[in-house]
Amino acid sequence: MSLSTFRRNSHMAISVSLALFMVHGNQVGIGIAGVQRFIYDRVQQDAWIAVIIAGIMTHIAAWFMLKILANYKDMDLYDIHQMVFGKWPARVLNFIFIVYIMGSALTILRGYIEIIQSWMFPEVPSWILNASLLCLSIYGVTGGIRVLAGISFFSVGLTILQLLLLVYPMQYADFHLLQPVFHHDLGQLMDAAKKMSFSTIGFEVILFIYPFVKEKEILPRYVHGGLFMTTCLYVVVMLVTLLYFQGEQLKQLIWATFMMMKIVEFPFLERFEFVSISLWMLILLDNLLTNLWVAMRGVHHISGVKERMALIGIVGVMFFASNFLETRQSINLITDVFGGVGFYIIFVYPIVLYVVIRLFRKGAVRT
Amino acid sequence: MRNPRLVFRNLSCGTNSLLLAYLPYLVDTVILQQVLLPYFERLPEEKVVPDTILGNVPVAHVTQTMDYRQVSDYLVRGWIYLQIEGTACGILLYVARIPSRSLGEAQVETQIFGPQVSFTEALETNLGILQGYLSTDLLTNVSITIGKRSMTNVEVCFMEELAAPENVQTVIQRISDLDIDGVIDSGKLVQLIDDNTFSIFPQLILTERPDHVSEALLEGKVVVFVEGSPFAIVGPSSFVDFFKSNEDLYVRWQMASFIRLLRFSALFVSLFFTATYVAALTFHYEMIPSALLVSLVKSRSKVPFPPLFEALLLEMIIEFLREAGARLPFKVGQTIGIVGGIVIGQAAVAAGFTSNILIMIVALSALASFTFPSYMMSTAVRILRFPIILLAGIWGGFGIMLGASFLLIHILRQSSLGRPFFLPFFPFRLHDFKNSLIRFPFYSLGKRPVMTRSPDDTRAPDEVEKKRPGQ
Repeated sequence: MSLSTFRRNSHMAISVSLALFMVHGNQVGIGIAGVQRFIYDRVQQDAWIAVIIAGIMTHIAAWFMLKILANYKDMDLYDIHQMVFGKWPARVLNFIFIVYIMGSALTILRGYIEIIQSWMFPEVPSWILNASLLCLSIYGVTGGIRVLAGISFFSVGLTILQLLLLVYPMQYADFHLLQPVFHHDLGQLMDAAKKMSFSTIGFEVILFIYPFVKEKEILPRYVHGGLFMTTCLYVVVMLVTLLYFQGEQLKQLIWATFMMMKIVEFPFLERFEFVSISLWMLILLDNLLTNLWVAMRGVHHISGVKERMALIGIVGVMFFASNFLETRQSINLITDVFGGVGFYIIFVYPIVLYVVIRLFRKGAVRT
Repeated sequence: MRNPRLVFRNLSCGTNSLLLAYLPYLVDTVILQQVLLPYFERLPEEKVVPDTILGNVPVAHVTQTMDYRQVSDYLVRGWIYLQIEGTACGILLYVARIPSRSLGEAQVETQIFGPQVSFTEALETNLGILQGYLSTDLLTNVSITIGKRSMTNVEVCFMEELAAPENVQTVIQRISDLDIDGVIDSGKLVQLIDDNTFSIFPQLILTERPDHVSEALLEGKVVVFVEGSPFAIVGPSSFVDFFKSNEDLYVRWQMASFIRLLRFSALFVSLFFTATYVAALTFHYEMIPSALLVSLVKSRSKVPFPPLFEALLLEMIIEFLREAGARLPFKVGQTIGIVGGIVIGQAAVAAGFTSNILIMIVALSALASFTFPSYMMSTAVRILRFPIILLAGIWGGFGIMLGASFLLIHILRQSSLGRPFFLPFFPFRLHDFKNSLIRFPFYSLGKRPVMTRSPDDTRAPDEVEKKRPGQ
């Protein structure tokens, strides 16, 4: 029985307030750089409403996740699967989760490297950038959950600081661009919100950090706080984008957020997007570290190999896989696949699992 | 004991025959001649027993021993061995005059304001100075002897009730566990007992200032003195502690906060300024506003090297100058600093080796690194500059950020005596934060730092309340 795989000593535990940063930091990743055009494609000036709907969806999904976790003491999702479904079905489910987590890590990594290659270093081969970022994340992940939480903390700080720079594009805001409001029906909005969901996932990390959080009874308020912060951030970014760009122009922009950063100007510095893209590394690293850590624990859980070996294996696979993603089309493809799958894994599956637990496992360990 | 300088002296006083043994260079011969020898002459005619001498010999510190193997340990620390013929028990008298220098001003951590005295090489003197600052019996010492060959005395000091027992225990444990032939200086000891020996960052503070040590003790920290070293080890210390000077407590809080912010901006200037120049000129010249770009390019027009090589060259020159200044005798060193700086700088520009602007940037980042009160930290930062410049030369802004992220992860992984090294920032602790980047007025610093986990964390509740404005 590998239920007691984690020794929960104080050295490995994190304080509950850090869950807010881990949730928020892991949600905000590469999506915020260019999600705008996908939403705009569907609901034009009402895009910000779709973002709010997507935000509400995250709260609902997180509510179910927290309910599931609260049923079991000190267990992460891998353990809960084993508890609920038995050994082999749990292994299959856990494997699916690991593949999904690795896939989303890969999307993030590949997406960032594509930005680096298109804006800064077109001639640098992507494998070497991959290798450097993956080496850095090995160093981070082996530092344990405290390092993950720390990187999340600073990446959230950095996100908020960069958010202040949106004052520059706001100088050119045209408020007529938002009208007419509520021009789309609910079906269209839901469709757009579903598209948005790829950029809001990441909060599933609570399913895995749960055993390490110190005061679990007040965890929900921090998780929902983090989700709320993310929704606010996306709404602000989306509104500024809608106000700054003319509609048709926005459809052409792959990275609308960085395009807005272009006009930030200091007496000694122009083209702020170069700084912004570089600083983005910390925000990406936060996602990468957390996903690798979750995958590492999963591999350790289902196969029993040492965590460090599992990590090296995962990084090796990711490095190998990332070399197949060279073109824009393949990146779009993987983003769509994992975005689509992600919607069902993150937003639908927790509800299913919750129902299963309530119906069939009523006598499970309750605390 | 095979020391040829060991003096044996036979005295016959009446019917008694006494044997004295001592090392002349460790013993105060004035006391020996003017106090001890007359005392032995006045001994009664009949046979004396050791207890008589132990009872009335005019020496403060006496002890007796039956074990002859212990005697040499005492002799090398300045004791006189006295044996009365016909008795089995030896007497040890402490009449040491250990060669030492007098008190001086702090040379490494200079300060404009506040006490100027610094520790010396003599352990007893250091403890004396410290007790002068903290005249309380709460100041507790634990003596440990380390080094199989050097037999160095090490003193672990802490405040009873203020220092967390687990910190004290960690320090004592780590020192006692050492299996080494000799430890001469606290600089060596600190590397043997810190948390991660592979990190470039020092994790425990070395300070020569008694006021710094006293303040640290009051914060609940643990201090280690090493015989023969004027530097005390202070821990647990956070990353921010290395940027704090005790002077920040003596000046008004606005000034202190300004100076602290200055030092932290110096940290970033020192780490990233040259690297930014290299990155911008190699890869991202679009980032430089055109007016600035014109003057930059003009100044670089004669330089045949890529910016990376130019920057590394100049950084090396600065390091040469610094090292030469540190090794040369004081007066020559000063001249070298000025002459070298101006002459080499001017000549390098005239010869087309570097640009004027880079000279300014490199000098600025070197200057910035000297603002840190901790010599160890400033050296660490200066060394870290080189890999960051290299990364900037390879991958521009991406490279700098790669280096910065690595540093951040590295710092997050470190600990000091098991406490998080990056403490007031992560895990974020508001109370410690108030005495980190800025120093709040004392009324809001009423608690001991979280870092030390002090069992009694209130510093002065009543005083603190009284000073609160509007009351």
